[in-house]
Amino acid sequence: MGKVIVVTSGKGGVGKTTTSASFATGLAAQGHETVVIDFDVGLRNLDLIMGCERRVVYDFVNVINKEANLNQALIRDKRVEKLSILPASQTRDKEALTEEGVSGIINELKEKFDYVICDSPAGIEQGAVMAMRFADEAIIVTNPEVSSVRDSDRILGMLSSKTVRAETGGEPIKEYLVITRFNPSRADSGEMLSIEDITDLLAIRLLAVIPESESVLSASNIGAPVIMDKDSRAGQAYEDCVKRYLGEDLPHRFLALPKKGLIDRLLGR
Amino acid sequence: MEYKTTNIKADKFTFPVVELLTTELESFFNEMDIRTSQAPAFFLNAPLVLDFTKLEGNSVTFLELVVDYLRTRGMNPLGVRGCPLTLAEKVDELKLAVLPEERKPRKPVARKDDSISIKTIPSEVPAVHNVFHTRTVRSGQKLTAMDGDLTVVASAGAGSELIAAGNIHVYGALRGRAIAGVGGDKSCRIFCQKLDAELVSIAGTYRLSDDIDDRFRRQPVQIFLEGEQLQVQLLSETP
Repeated sequence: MGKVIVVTSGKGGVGKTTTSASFATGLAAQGHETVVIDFDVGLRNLDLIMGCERRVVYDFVNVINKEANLNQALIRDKRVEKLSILPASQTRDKEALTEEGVSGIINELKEKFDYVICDSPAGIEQGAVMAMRFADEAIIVTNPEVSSVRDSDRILGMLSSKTVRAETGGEPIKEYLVITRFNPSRADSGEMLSIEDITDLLAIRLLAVIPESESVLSASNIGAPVIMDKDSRAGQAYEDCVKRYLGEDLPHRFLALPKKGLIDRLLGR
Repeated sequence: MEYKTTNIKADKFTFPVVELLTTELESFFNEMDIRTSQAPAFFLNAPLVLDFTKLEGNSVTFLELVVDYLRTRGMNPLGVRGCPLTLAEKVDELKLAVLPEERKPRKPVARKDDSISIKTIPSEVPAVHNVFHTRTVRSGQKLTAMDGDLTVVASAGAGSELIAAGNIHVYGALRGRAIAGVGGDKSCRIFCQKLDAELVSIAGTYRLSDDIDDRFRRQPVQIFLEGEQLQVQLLSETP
């Protein structure tokens, strides 16, 4: 039976889809059958970041409405063998996500895959609730900024009340924290919250800190998850994130300012 | 308008309930005589409730005689429950109150040699019910303890709400709202390991985060009422 992991945050634009795409790609690259589902019905983005937007025929809502079966809707990634994507519908809205429909699809996916990654939409409404509803674990994506942290706290509250696990009194959902867009110099100067502030406020296990990086934007635009960019700091941080999740004990990198080399100094960089 | 002569409020009392198990008056009177003689002080002027739920076949006269018997023996039947509709008029005439049925289902079999059983209703006792929580209270979550103390062995996040009729204890950071003594109990207190609350209130007197002195920030404190004033005190400075 596969594990269902929701990637969520409350606030929009913090990096949920980027994290979902890279995390799923990383798990698949490590040899685990992985599927990533876009729950952002009406604002379909995951397919763009995964670079499969031209291959979408059927989507999540088609499967819920039994207009297509799962195999018709699942898109196999061309670069990573064990990775599949279930895209969202662009023409419908979140109301199309019925509890019964979502439950059926997730159960079917759990049979076939080791990991089912649910990329949640922003907010705390239907779409976000359905994305977390059947989760076994949760990755909370937060920016080092007070409103993002508070929204994450709210989402953590919902995870412990609105999920099937919470309602049936099962084992609590395992919660992990991923801090994205971290900029050490701005944290040092107090413009951003520090890692300690965030972990103190949210009190959950820190899985990774992803540094703010130009490569995230360019990766989205070329449709390749940033984890595939092995030279970028963000890509390496996601790589660590996946390995840490799978049990490796790795130190957190990119938390401090990189030391300037002699040439940088001479060139005034 | 403002009422000056009376306060009307709801309250709970415990009354003995006399469960009637037979319509044979003779044996009822005999047994009742024995029971009252065993504990005369208990029965003198005792308010009683007559329970008809286990009784099969009863009459208007029966009810009247039972009430008459109890009243002449110095007892004070206040009301009935489980009384068939046929007796409604008599109940009214005898100035008895009609009380609701017992909430819990009970065992239907009674002891054979007992024609009456007397018991108190435990559910009527106002119970203290403390609430204990061990996970972080998240923004948007609300914990309540309407009949006792609320204890959180974790932190309570900004935007969370803790509400208790009694005291509130937070063995972590208190960043949300803490509202103690909601029933009006002014002796209630709020305790926390790290004060960063948005609002604290005891029995309706509240203080916002802005009005809390900076020296108490992120410190272990207790908060209590002194007169009409909310006082914050460092736990390290308690006498």
